Amino acid sequence: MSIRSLFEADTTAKKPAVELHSYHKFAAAGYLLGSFTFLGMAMINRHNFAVLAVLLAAAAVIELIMCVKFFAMIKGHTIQQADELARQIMYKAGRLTAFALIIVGGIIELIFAATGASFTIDGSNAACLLFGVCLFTAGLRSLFFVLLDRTDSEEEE
Amino acid sequence: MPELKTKLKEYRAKHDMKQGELAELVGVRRETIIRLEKGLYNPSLKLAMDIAAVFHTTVEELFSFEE
Repeated sequence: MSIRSLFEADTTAKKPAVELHSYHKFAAAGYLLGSFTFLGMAMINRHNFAVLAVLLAAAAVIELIMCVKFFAMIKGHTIQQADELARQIMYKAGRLTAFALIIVGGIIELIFAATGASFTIDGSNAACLLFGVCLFTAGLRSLFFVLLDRTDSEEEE
Repeated sequence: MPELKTKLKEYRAKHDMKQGELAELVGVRRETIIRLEKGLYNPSLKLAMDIAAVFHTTVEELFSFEE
């Protein structure tokens, strides 16, 4: 075998691919659960410490299990490339996510206005809040992708 | 709006080809082929030509629009 042929060898041996749809199902669940954890961390204080600590610990355990399952699923695999339809759907999912965030923000605003509740953003929770919102956005996007990408399960293979 | 009609399913059956196999040949996901067969997705010219090439036919033969 010549040295040249070594360099020309196919180094991109095909690994089995995880379907994009399945990947986004996992991603949606993981991101949304992660976002609730971080939003919970942003809201924790002296008064709700016991309740939130238990809930956050439970969420952390579930996330850990999901993480292990996810990495077991993708180990030795590639994630399926997005084709033209997937890109179109992702674009739609992005727009729906933006719309959903506006609605969610509006509802929170209304609840706060109606109940007189307030929420302080300061140095102690700003990072958690920001990270939580980022995860929430990514989770919603994956969720909308899964919903829009649905096909009837009884399709012929 | 004109409706997309396709003979993709017929051609696939004629060639005894599964949706997954066709998807792999043209580099898309199986979901895309399912939607194409149902007329729910208007493919790019490149994808239409790739599919036509797989079945040794023309794009016009495979896809048409009906008012």
